[in-house]
Amino acid sequence: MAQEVLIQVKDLLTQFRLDDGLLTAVNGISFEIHKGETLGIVGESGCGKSVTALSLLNLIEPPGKVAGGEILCDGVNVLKMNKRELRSFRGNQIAMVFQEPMTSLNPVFTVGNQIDEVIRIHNRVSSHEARERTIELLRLVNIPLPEQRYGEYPHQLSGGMRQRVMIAMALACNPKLLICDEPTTALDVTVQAQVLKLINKLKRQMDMAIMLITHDLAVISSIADRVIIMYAGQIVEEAIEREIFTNPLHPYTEALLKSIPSLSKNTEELYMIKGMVPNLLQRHEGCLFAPRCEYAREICRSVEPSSCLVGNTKVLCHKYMDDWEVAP
Amino acid sequence: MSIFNRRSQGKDLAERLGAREDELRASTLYRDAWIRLKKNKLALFAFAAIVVIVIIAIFAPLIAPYAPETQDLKNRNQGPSDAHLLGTDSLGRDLLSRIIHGSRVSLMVGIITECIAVPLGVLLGSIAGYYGGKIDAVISRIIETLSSFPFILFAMVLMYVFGTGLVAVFVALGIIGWIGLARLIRGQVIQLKEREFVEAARAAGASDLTIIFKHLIPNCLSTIIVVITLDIPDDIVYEATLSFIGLGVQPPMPSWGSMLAESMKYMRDNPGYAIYPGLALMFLVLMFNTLGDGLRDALDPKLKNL
Repeated sequence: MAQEVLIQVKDLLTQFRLDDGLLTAVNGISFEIHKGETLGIVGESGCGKSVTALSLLNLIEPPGKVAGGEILCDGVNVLKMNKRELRSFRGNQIAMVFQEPMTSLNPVFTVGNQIDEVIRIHNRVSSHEARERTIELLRLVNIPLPEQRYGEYPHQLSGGMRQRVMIAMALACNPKLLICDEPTTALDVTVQAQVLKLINKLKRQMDMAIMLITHDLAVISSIADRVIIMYAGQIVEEAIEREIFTNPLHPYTEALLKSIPSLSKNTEELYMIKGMVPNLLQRHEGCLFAPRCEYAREICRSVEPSSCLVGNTKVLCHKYMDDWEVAP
Repeated sequence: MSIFNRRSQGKDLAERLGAREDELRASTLYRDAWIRLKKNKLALFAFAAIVVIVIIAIFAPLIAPYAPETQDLKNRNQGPSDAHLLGTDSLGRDLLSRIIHGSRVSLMVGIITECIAVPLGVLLGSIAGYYGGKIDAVISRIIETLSSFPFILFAMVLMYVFGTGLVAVFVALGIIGWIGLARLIRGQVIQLKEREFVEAARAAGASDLTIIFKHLIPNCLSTIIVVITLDIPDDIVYEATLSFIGLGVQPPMPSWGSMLAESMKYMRDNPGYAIYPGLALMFLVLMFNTLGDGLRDALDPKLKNL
């Protein structure tokens, strides 16, 4: 799948200066997003998924800081943009849907008013035109009776409905990339499926790329084309969706797949990855996953692995390096 | 722009729904608050009383039986009579007329002072809360410095600088009146700016000003309303105090504070001269405070200990 590159991230390094030290939330990751694809980003809480997303929009606030790397969007480095350029970039090129539909809408304005506002930030249109577009957008995200919903307040809508409004708001300016940060986490399963279907439909209809952040592998399997697995601020595996599920390479991916509770198997015990996510404030030697890895050898604890290509899959693990067989 | 090309077929439906929409729009925080306020009979009474006093103040020259400055030196310090319902003062002026005209000063002070204090307080408070860091430090230090003086003492100092008179009262009270509001708004903004809708607005390309004026300040509106209603009676009392010590409204303009000051000399002969302006002042302040309490309970139950 040789496609045009939309966003290229090179060696992104995002750090937070906290009272008890420097926390590296995203540790030199590189990846690409192609036009029109759905990229899934999976990982445990605190592995740097959301920080990566916010970095793409250059939305990291102090004490956080993007300390290094480049984010190229159509050849322009997002991290070098000035305030004005950033404002027209955000929402216009890349838009974002947040996790909590309950708190992502301003409670004192009608939903219509809030979508109008986003349209009017980026386009010079009359309030009448903005209103028409907003109603069109509400219809696009399958909200019944959009003319009526236009004048309602967020508290009058259900969670799924609010998430649709958030999506409508993100789509207001036809972004090239829609970042969805755990868009379905706060919704119940049936609504989840509807929202995912909707995202998928909109992607095709509007020809945009999607970056879907989640900790739920089921969500990924239903809509992603390519998947990035993150662990402790690093990309440990990057592969097309089918490969991840049929042939996981990194021990962490393998463990993640094993820990999905199964409905069919009648087991009492749930698989669990031993240990905890490493404290990123501390210095680490070797592979960050080594303390929890069942294959770990001496070399894993002392030498940092480097990324290698196995088939079409990129993986960050000593197991796939040339000297594994002879390694201590 | 494909999605926008399809012209909305629902356009006329939207127009037909127009009327309906207004009804929906009304079912909001403020409508709920109004419903709650209506249950609070005392607050409702206070509201009605304030409306009546405002009407009296506006139409004072029509309502008052005499002009407030007309002297009748033959009838000085009279008690209540048919000609003078509340009696006369030391220059034979009709007390009722002077109290009615005095309400204009009190209400004007309340309103104009808040017109100065509220924009200052809201703006400085939200800027301090939103930007934080050095800007917050500077504004917070100003707030702390100003509030380390007793209010009335500070107002007196300002009056010595600006001179006496009604305008000076407005300016002096306005300059100190924003402090409490700024502090409250700053606190609220600090909480609000962490909310996701602010981050969502930023991710959609909103500027700082848009965020402050469209997202943060409207969310503080109920606090602002409550603070205004509770600050107006304070301003009225401050004006009365300043006028009482001779710094505020100057004679012959009638003000409840200056009437009280004048009446001290005649306390024995004409106690009504002190009692009636005092009652008027107390009643107006009490009504504003009652309404403020009612509004606070109705609008924002979280503000219980304001």
